Amino acid sequence: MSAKLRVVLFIFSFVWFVIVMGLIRRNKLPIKYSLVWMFAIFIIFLIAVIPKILEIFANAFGFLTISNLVIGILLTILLAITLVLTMLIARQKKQITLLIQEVSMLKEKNK
Amino acid sequence: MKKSVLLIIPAYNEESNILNTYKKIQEFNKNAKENQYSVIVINDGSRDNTESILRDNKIPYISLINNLGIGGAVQTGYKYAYENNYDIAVQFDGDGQHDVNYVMELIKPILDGEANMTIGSRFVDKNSSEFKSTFARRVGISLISTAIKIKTGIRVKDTTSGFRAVDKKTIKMFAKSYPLEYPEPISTTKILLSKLKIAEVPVSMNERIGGKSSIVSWKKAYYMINVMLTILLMKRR
Repeated sequence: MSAKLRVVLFIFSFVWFVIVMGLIRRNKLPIKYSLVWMFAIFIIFLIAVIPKILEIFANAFGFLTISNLVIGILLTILLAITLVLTMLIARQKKQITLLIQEVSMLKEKNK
Repeated sequence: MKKSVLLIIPAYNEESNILNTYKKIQEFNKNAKENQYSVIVINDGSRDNTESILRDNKIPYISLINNLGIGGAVQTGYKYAYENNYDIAVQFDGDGQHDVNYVMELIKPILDGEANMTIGSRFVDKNSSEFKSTFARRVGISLISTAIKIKTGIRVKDTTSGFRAVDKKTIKMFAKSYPLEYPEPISTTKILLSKLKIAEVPVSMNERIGGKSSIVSWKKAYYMINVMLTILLMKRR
């Protein structure tokens, strides 16, 4: 992996870390949901510091270049996070529906 | 023993039809002394004057504080039926498509203990059906019908009819859990998978007088794919 890419990844993970920490401190992101992002940041950081890990993985999974593997890893993390979020939204939709129904029925009773 | 029957009427922006629909039911109740139907209109967050019409004419209604879509609205009706201990609940459109004179025929198999749910079908008896539907719509309905047949082994012809009646057991079930997306075909499948019985009763339906169908044209293909997949992937009990 080129030195340039390592520097970019390092800066990337650092900036991201600062943003996530800022959101947590301003109470905009619960710790519960930030953990997955912290984990993602940590992996990118690890790649920047010890690129050797990547070479082993790239060979094992048949990636031609290490940068492809980096993109692949990022994509997988993003897809996983999106899937979890989609499930969360579906659950919240059910909860909101229940709330709207029950509140509306209560309002009707108190008319 | 006399059974109490509730008509659940979901209404979204039905200011031009809802009063007429209610008046026809009242007229029916006036003539029928014994089998009176109670009514609950579920105003699904309408943005027109539906609510003031309901209020001014003293029509029993629940106004949802936000739009939920047909599934969430109808389920509110089932919850109301469950809380108020109704024996039979009938889903009845607020747009004038359904005829209150068919309700008696629709609930008969339930009264006789032959079915847990009945569907007012536009297909069962060709002669009594004056409902004109497009070719694409018929193909869509029969595709869904095939999916249900594959999943449950039972043929239901009119899978998207919104004119249906359920017994007490099913009211309780729907009050607890009702599909929010594509409610008609999915709830039909759910009933069949729960080993409950469905009967189709031939009815004729009126053309829509005003308002708009809840299925918009460009969404039809998307609707079909979703319904078929949902049915085929449903969990057997």
